Amino acid sequence: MKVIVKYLGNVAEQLKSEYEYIELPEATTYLQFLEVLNTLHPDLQGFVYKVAINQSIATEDVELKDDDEIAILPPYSGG
Amino acid sequence: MLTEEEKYRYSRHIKLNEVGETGQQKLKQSNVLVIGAGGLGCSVLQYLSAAGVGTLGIIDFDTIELSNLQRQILFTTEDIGKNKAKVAAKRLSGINPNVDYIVYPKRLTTKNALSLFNDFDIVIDGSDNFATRYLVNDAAVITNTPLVYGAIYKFEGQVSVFNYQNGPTYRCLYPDFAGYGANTNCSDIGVMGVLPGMIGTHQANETLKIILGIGEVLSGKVLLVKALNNDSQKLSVSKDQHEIDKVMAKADEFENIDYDVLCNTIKSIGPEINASELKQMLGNQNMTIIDVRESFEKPRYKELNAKDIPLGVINSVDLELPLDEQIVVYCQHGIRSKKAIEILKKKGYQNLTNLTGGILTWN
Repeated sequence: MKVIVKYLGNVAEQLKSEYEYIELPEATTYLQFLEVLNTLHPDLQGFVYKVAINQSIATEDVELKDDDEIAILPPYSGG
Repeated sequence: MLTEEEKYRYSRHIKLNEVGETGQQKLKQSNVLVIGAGGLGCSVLQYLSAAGVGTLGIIDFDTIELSNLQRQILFTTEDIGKNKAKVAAKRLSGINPNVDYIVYPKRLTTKNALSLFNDFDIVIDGSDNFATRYLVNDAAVITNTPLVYGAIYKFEGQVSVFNYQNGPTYRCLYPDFAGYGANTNCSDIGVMGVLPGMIGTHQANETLKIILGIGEVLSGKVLLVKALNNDSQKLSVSKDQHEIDKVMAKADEFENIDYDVLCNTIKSIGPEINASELKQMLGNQNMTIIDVRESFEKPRYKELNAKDIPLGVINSVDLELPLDEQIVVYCQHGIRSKKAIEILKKKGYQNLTNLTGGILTWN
């Protein structure tokens, strides 16, 4: 299956990418996805961010589905 | 009661069924505190003033700089060097003299935040650093004050209403600041001038809806706005009671929490530090240095301003420091200090750093 991952703020900057499609094995869970993400982008180690799955901030280890939209949301401090 | 002047001034509000004279009266009776008269503050303040919010508190210790004028649109070139809160209030009184402007030309601190928040119905966060944002969140939780949140980064912004009718708080979204040093820069970075205008306007809109009791308040959601491609979306945020309880559990010691530690020190210090790194950090208010040598050992350097607590007694001495205090420990060669760190860890201290090679590397 395939999910779209949208990067925001300084994460997008670090990865030089606003979004990408990531191919995952069927029944990959949220936490397994995070491992895939970290392997794919070791640069993200040390970054703080929240993850939204289909417009909801993830709070538990759910199973992902084909076409899920995932957003990587770092905190902003500017005012 | 509204005066004739007010009825005319606010006539376009009053004509709205959702507002009317009753709603305008609610606005007149409301008190709103704006933290920071920077990009977000300048934007939100103009609309709240024009809308007839009865009392507007403005707190900002900072002075106006030339590089602010690209986005902080209450200020003019003649205002450079003056206090932002004072100049903002002066400009706003031209927009709407009916509003009471309460100016606090000082820093928001843990010492003044709680009493200040207690005097206002709603607090708006227009600050520009994480330390203040966590301070504002925690003070809002402790005083049970709704918090209208806005934050920006280059071309992107976030808006939400926290702590509203038992809803989620900022810490339900971003629980802790540990590790922020890795990916954030507390000093100024670039920002599109119009962005704080957009985000501040969203904050003003949320504030007015809260006061008027109309529409859907952006609680339990965070709005993301990307100015570069006009993408915007609302993400759901759940309440994390555990995070709220943690803030409440520390409510009694709130005045002594050092929020600046987040931006100033955590990022620059690891479990080991060398002499030249420590030299650069001397004078940092958020750090305690402990010398675990015996009193007769030399050399001793006054500039370190260290507490003398020999290794043999460190387990039994009460350091009288908060458990999250940044502590640097040293001895002669950096070996006994490692043992001391083990002991302090067991006592619950979390931010412990060893001076590599000991004090003999100092000069």
